[in-house]
Amino acid sequence: MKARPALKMTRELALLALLAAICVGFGAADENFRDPYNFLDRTRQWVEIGLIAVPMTFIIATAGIDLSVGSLLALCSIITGLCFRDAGLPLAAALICGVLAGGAGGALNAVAVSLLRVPPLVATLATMAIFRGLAMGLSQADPIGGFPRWFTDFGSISALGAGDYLVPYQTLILLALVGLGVLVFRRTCLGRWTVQMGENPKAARFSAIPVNRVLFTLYAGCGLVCGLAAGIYTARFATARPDAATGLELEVIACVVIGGTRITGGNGSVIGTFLGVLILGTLRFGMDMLGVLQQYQIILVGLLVIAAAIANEWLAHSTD
Amino acid sequence: MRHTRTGIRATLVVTALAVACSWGCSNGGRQQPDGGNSGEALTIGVMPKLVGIDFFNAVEKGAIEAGKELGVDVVYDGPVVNDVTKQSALVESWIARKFDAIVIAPNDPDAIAPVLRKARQRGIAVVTFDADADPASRDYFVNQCTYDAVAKALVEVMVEGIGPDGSYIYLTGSLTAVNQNIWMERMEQYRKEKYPDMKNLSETPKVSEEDQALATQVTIDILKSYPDVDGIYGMTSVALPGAAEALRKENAYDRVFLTGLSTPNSMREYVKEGVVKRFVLWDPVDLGYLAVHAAKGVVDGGITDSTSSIQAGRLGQIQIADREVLLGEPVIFHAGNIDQFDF
Repeated sequence: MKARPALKMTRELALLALLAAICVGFGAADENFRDPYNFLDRTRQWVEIGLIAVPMTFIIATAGIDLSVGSLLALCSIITGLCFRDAGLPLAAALICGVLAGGAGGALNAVAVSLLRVPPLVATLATMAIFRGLAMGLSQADPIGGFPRWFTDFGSISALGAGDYLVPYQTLILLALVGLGVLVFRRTCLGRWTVQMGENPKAARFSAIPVNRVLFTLYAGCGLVCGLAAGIYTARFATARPDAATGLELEVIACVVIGGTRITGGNGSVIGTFLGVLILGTLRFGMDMLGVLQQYQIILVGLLVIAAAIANEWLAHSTD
Repeated sequence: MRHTRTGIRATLVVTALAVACSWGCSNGGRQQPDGGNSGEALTIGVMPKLVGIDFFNAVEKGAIEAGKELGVDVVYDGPVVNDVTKQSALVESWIARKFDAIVIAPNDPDAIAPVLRKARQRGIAVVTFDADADPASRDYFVNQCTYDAVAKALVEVMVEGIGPDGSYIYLTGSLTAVNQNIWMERMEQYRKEKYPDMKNLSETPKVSEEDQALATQVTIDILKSYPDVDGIYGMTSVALPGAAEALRKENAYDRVFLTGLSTPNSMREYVKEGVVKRFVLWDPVDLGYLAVHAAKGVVDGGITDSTSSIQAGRLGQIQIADREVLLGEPVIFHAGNIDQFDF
């Protein structure tokens, strides 16, 4: 049992070292990477992925998965847009509707996985299509715009700080959720039960763990976070689009895998996931500054994910 | 402990490889090997709605020509689909790379506005071309022709084809493209005044999203759903050839008159076969050329609020009014002149 904490510390330290090496490497190569305004402004692009990666860590730790997060984000964004434009609600109320819609979507996943015992991969594959279809249908496949200036400024311009050191508000929200996620994962029963359910699902059901309640909390919670991320995404792009966040789920899962959480469940690290988000984010940022074309960026990211997955397995087995 | 040391060593190797690969794969977007931030040459980013279609390839030619003439670094890049969120992300990168000016044809005027505002806040000149963005978010708009001139040219060609009491339908690109929407709006205004007996069979235009194959499919659907339609407008450089292909397949070009906006190279075979008799455009090479000239003018102060015209290289004197830079008049292409052009 003592081996496990040591494994986590090694893994997270290695990720931190990788992050540091990336920053130093690109920082030396390009002055625009070193520019604090550029770097802090760039974190806006990591927020939606980072937010959803937190509950995704828990879900993957239970040996589950949620492929519907991108579609759910689009659906919540559209619902916010429709409430604002067509139902005439004030924007704050429309945003809350979006978050609640996320909770409802997550609850649907939760019911399928916990009560109906559908394998999470299958259930969320289905809801991925259902949510996307609803988003397309409700919006008639047209984007919704016309949001007020304060809202779109929040997404792309407003920040806390002075001079070149401006921390975007959405980045602060991300840091808060990550902090919360770390606390819940390490210090609460929910966190412990999550890992135990992933380690041995059958044993978990026979022990005192309220498996269905945990699953419900995790998937519905993930849905609520998708709703939150949808609000930020809508602000950043100043439109609610039914084709938003296509492929987001894969980005999120990549961060979780790089962070050290195994797809087969039984372990996890929210700090690792957060480092994964930072690593992928800074890697992309550095490549953009150097002018690397998109097609090569995708290859490098793919290689990184494979390397991380191999490292996960190697580290896991070497301490058995 | 051994794991940590091995891990850190492996980490450093991987990162060194990543940075080396990036360095090797980089400089993909630059057209001139001027060394980027050399300090002397301005860097102007030119972004089409999407890359890979004839119309914007011609714009690229003009932009690069102007760049060479003016001694400016032109970076031409854009998304592979007409997606405004991808355009936003690319503009963010250009802001971070501290370009001097951004020249863009946005896919959505409102969605692109926040990021353009951010660029201006960072001291970057913003010029739109082909399609405008929210005017408060950009410095100048390089318009190919006045909206009314394009509208009038298209309607007159259609009247020649179907008479002053025929029925027609619009096939556009995307419902958020400002240029297409304003053209259609002015066309309706113009023909309601001059040809009130003509009939528009569908209030909402049909959509083809800059996808030629989709345009063909939608046109075939139009022929089925509106069997009495006399004329079709193909409002984008991709919709028109797509629709022409449909008319050729269905052998319908004798009973349906097709016209619209597209490039001579895309339309040459259809015009030669008589599938399309006349269509309208302007010179996109000139458009790209002018846009870069205008952007440089904004950056170095050659264009200010009081400027009413500029000398734009080989184009001569170009008028500026209401923060719009006007290229000129539309051109009507037909079998007699289509071979004179190569774009």
